[in-house]
Amino acid sequence: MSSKLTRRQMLQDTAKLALGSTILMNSPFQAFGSSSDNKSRVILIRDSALTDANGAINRQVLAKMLDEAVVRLTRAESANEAWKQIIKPADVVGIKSNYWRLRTPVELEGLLRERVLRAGVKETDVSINDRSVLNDPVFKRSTALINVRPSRTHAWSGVGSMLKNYIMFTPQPSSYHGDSCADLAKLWELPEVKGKTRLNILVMITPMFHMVGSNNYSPEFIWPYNGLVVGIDPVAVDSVGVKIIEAKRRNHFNEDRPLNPPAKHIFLADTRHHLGNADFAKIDLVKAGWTEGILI
Amino acid sequence: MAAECFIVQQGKRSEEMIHIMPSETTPLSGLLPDTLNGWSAAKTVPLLSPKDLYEYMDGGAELYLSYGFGEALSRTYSSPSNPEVVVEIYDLLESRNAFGVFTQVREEESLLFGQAAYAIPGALLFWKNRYYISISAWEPSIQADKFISDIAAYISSKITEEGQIPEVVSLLPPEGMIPSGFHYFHHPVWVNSYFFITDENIFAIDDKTDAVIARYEESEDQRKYLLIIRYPAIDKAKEAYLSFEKEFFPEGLTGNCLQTEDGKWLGAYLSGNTLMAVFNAASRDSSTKLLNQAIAEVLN
Repeated sequence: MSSKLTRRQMLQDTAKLALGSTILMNSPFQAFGSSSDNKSRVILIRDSALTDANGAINRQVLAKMLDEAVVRLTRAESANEAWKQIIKPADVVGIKSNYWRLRTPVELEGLLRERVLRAGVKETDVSINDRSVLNDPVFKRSTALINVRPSRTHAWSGVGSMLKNYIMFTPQPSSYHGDSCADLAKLWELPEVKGKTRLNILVMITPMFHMVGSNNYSPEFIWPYNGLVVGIDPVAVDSVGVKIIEAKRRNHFNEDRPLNPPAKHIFLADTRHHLGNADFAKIDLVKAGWTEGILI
Repeated sequence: MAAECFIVQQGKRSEEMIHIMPSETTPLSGLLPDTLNGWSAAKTVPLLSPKDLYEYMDGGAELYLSYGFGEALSRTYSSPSNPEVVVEIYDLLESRNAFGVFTQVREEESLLFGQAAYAIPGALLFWKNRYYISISAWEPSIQADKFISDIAAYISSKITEEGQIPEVVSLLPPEGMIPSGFHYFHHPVWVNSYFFITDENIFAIDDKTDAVIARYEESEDQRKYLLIIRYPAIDKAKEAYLSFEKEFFPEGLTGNCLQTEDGKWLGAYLSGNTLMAVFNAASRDSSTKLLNQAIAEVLN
């Protein structure tokens, strides 16, 4: 057989790896990994008290979750120490957010800004932006990026991912749309981005697991998961996020309903671009907090 | 769509693409009223090229481009004390394209508007002839839903002719098929739309092929999938079948079937210019039954 990525090839590779015979490959993540032996640490933290019945976010709970996530991620003694490991006082920090109807919560943006300032960064050296990052003077001279966005399905790339959140760093976003956004990982090679990302936060407070039409917003496909997925490796964070979304789809539809189209840009970021680990065998997933309905 | 309009209103980058146009600017304008039952057109955005479409929506443009995009028009309607409603009409050049886009987005179908429609609270999608129409409200409300129905009926009445459903769809055996459980397409990316099959275009799917993938009942929590591709020439079909064989069953088939490493069954058959494949069947009998039903439809 050739080296093309096909279901049959994956099944054979899986069998060779003796990973078991019941692997589902609606999202072809599990059988493939990078050549690195290092696992990517990803923190999934949840709290049932994060949102109220109206969906309003409790800022204090969110702050506690965020700090606990970075402590667990860095294995630091305290939140302050953790943030100081992530951000240095001399850094110029761009917080790459995501403005859409299901946007990065402003509470989280505010908390991130606070933490960056607390780490010693000057007020004039931090900016939060999405669609205008290329024209943002702070982003232009940034030395560090924090990547934060909500999790939702996407009409062409399968999911709006950590990887995809950097699409605004190119003046021609559509040039990355070929083959259902297969090569979005290339964005991370852009000089505005390369080597700068210190933290990836996939917001799964109210993720959207299905959509009707292109870019439609369907409230009935949003649920209160009350979670954050936090890591250094964007591919691993995305891989965890997709796993949760697909599990939710399976629960909701009472059958396997893979993302359409599949979020193949995530596993290709691993297998083709070697940006990180999509393979769960290479992910050290740490779960913290609320476990009911965790789906993973 | 509603969410994108929010971006259009909020984002500096997107402000550049807003064109407030008189209502009679493109042929598609003729399918839309300026006012209807107390609602008025607030702004109109013609989308005349793929570039316009890319700028109008984040990534969603590819869905339409993968089928065949002619032009589109987005018009926002407002009414006092009601959420805005955005109507988008896509001229996809051929009825098979409008039908294909509709099959990608609908979970179920009704015949309330156009040739088939799909409604959820605050949104309605339908197709008729070569047009695909999306109508969505910023927030679901009784008044918005009423207007959505009214304007859908208006648009449907303005499109006087119906389009043909691609013949390949008629080859799907009805027994056991999940209701509204198929996608019609002629772009290779959609071969994976229910079930990951391949990252490469091993089936040589292009504009000249007609393909459909459908879901069938297998067990309570399992589905099997039937892929049917009709090629413009027998030679093309043979080449595609050989490519499929090379990647999926170089060891050959027994009785048109093969058990794969996960214990599931794969079936494949080529009849003239039509390739058929069954994936994820629970048993040889199950794979053979569906494959034989499809073969019978093709030979019928």
